[in-house]
Amino acid sequence: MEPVLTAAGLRVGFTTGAGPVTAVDGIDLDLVPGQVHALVGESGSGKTVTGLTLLGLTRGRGVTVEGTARYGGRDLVAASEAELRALRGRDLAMVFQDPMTSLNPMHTVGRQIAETVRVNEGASRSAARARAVAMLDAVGIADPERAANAYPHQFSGGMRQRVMIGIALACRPKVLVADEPTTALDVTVQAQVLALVVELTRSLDTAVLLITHDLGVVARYADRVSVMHRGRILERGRTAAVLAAPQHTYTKALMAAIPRLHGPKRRRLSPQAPVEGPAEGAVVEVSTAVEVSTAQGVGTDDH
Amino acid sequence: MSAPTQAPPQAAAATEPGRVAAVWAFLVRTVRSPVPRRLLAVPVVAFVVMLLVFIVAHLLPGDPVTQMTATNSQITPEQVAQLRRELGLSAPLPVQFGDYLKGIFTGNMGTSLYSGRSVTSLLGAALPVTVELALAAWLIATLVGVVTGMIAAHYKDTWVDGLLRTSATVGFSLPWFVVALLGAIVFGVELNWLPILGRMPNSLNYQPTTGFVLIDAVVQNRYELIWPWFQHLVLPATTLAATTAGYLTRVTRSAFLDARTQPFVRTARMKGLTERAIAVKHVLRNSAVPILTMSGLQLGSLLGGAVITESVFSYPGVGSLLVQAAERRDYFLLQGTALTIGLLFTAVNAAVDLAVLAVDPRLRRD
Repeated sequence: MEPVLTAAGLRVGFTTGAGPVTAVDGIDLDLVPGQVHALVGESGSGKTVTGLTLLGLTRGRGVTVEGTARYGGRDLVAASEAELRALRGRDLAMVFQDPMTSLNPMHTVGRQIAETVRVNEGASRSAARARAVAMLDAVGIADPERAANAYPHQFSGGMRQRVMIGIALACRPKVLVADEPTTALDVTVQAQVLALVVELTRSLDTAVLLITHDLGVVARYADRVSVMHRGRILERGRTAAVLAAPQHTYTKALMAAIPRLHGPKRRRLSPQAPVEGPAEGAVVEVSTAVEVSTAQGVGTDDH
Repeated sequence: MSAPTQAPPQAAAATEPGRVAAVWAFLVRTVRSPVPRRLLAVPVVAFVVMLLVFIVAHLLPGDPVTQMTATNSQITPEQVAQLRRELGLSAPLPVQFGDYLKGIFTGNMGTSLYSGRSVTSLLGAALPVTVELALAAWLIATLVGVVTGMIAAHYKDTWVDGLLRTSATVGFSLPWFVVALLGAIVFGVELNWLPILGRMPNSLNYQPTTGFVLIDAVVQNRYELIWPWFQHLVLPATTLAATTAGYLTRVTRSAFLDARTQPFVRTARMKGLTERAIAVKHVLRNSAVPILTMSGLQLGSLLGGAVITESVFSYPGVGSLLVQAAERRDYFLLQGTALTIGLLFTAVNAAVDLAVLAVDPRLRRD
């Protein structure tokens, strides 16, 4: 299938007090309608900046964006702010990491969903309100009619993230960037929220860029995966292929870092972990050893 | 046969405690919900204000009788004692406090020793004048302060921001009487643009109905009153506003900058809103609580500032009355004006708290 958004050589640099920093260092990405493309990597690898840049949300003083991001015959990197504004909310949407602060505490959730419908589709107040209620229903919030009149502080984190998904998908966008949408949530809610994102975007034929550091999430929900490290993509491919036979040391290290409950004994205890010492200290030693091996893997890639 | 006849009393017995519990639950809920709770605090604070004014008035050296008899060298001690009794000043303090409270509620707060008019009627005439002045000043200050604060935040760290912040600091650093005198000299005397004395030319023969000129002009169908009233209001109101606006500029600026960095602003941007819409619908609303609180507190302090401003401009409000009463040791009038200003402050604070509740849904409890 033809990708709806194609980024090529995307590079984002920031001027900081400590000198220039390149957060994203020339990456390529293809987002295909109805498919989930996972961007995986550790904190600070440039995943979020990539997502924000696709929506033009990193623009400003001290930021340089290079490369191209082709969407619908235009380049999002070169597009004017007005052009991007017209695309945001309607064609390009994003779900942010922290649902606790991403919603305006002063407005009802119904109003916050309705706002994007009114702005992007010029809908009447009542039509936008009806869509808001329908969206709340679609994201699985009980009694949506009543919930529309509630304020964010009256919802739990999981429900707020559902609302945020409702906002993002209210105008049936072509591209959705989901930036660690479940990191701030309770483990039991994470799976539900991710399943919701995948189900809704499949039904809307929306291309999803799922930003995560969780390979378990990648394995379960992503069609394709790009492994990102220090602003670069090290490895990419179909999820099953990459996870079954990672080619890159860093990917292998990331996979080794997944905590396992039922793996074979040898996997749980790294060979580098000292075996002496108190029994309860062993778990800590394992995780430390894993971090060390990650760092070593990285080191060999860079030099 | 017996079952149906027995049923109603049983039902009644069952519902009676239920109803009591429901009424009790309603009362508890009402008291606990923020709005009634705030309103219930008003009489408590008002009582404390009354008590404090009473105590301060009795702590002041010299009572009204010494004041009244000071110029009369022929008065006998018996006559002094009689006067004390007549004024109720020989009774024990708690009794005097009771009389004073009763007076407040029945509208009898004593007689002005200087003019011989009742304190209530003097206050009735002066109160609308002060309320008008404070409200006008507050509107100007809030409008100027919020707009300049938003501009300063928008042009953060540019010369515009620097200029606004400096003027704001100069504004709230200047004492009221300095601004008042400057305004009077420049705009009243030198430029001769504005009247500097009084509230209304005597020639217009304004007879108050409510005391609020805008309302009276409509009620009495005398629209010619409005322009001279407005001209007289401009200097005292802008004087008061000048010092307050600067403060609000700074509060608005920092509240605005703080709200602007919140993640929901990024959400609004993600929705495709224009920067202007984001500023008005999302940022301003979220910075409203500190701005509203500060601006409300300023309205309270404007009432205090009105005391000085009114006397500079001979504006016939509660402030002028208070200064006159203090100068002439007009005991009951002093007590009455102090109480009025205190109670106004109480009312304003309650109104501000209610407004904050109305703005911020997080503070309302369900």
